[in-house]
Amino acid sequence: MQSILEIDSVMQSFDGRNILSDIYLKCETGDILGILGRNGSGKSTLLKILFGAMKGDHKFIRIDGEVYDKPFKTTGLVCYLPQHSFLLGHLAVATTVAFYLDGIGVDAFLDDELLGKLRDNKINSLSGGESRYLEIKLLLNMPSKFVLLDEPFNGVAPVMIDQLKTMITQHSATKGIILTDHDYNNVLDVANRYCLVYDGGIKHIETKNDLVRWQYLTVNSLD
Amino acid sequence: MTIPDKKQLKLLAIFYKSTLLFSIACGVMLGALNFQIFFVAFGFSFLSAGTVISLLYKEMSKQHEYYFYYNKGISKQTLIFTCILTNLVIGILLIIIGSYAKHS
Repeated sequence: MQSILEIDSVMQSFDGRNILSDIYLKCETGDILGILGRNGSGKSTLLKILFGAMKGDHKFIRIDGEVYDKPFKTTGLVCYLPQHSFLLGHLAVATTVAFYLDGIGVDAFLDDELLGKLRDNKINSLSGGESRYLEIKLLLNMPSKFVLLDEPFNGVAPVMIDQLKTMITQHSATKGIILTDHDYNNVLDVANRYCLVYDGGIKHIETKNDLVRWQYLTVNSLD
Repeated sequence: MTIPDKKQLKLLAIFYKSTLLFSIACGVMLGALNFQIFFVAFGFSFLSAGTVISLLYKEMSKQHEYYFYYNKGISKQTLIFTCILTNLVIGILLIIIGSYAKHS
């Protein structure tokens, strides 16, 4: 079933400085929207406002025609991967999976080359990359229409990044996915739409030359 | 604030359990000052300073964990309200038990 998420008129300032001004974004089922931007450009802020964890100075969020103030409070709409691990360190991997998937399909979820051998381990014993892999797989398997991933590739080994990209592509068949990361090559590889947060606004990106034009990359960065 | 469902109640219990260390420690510290009124002092500290310190600790060093609950539809307000309400009930009960025991 096709779902549409729109966020409009987003404004956010910190200490008198405008971070986001009048942003509009749309994401539909099947979209993998890659959002790029320099440090401090407001990518994470935008995702947090969209999720509902941050209020925002102003925003308008509509999902499938209904307006939401905090989308995360309605089950099945949106889930969010923050930059830092959100899992509880004292819980075991299998326990965490059972909580998040409501006990459904836990064995199938853990029937995984990496997670299978970690099922009884505590979350705080996992490496950063293992934890990230688990978090992303959990969120993609939740019954939510949209998944927001903030720097999913951060601290993850290249071979695991490839697995994550495959997972993201597979789940985009039934979800809309928005991701941001500084690893722009992998973002450009996995996403099917792209934009750049620049000077508080959104610039739509078609090619890498657009990233140079909007000063995200230098000419030397192009292949 | 909506009423949590059964699964969300389990998660609220997990959050609440994670705040108990500081609440109980504060209660024991104040209660130990005067064993004659241990339960009264424990209860009072548990529902006041213990609650505040527990939640402040969460706010200052475990902020990222709130997303564990957000992703299951539970807001920070619900988590904090549940913690305060539960500690209030337990604290008042301990104060009543302590007062009754002292006077009997």
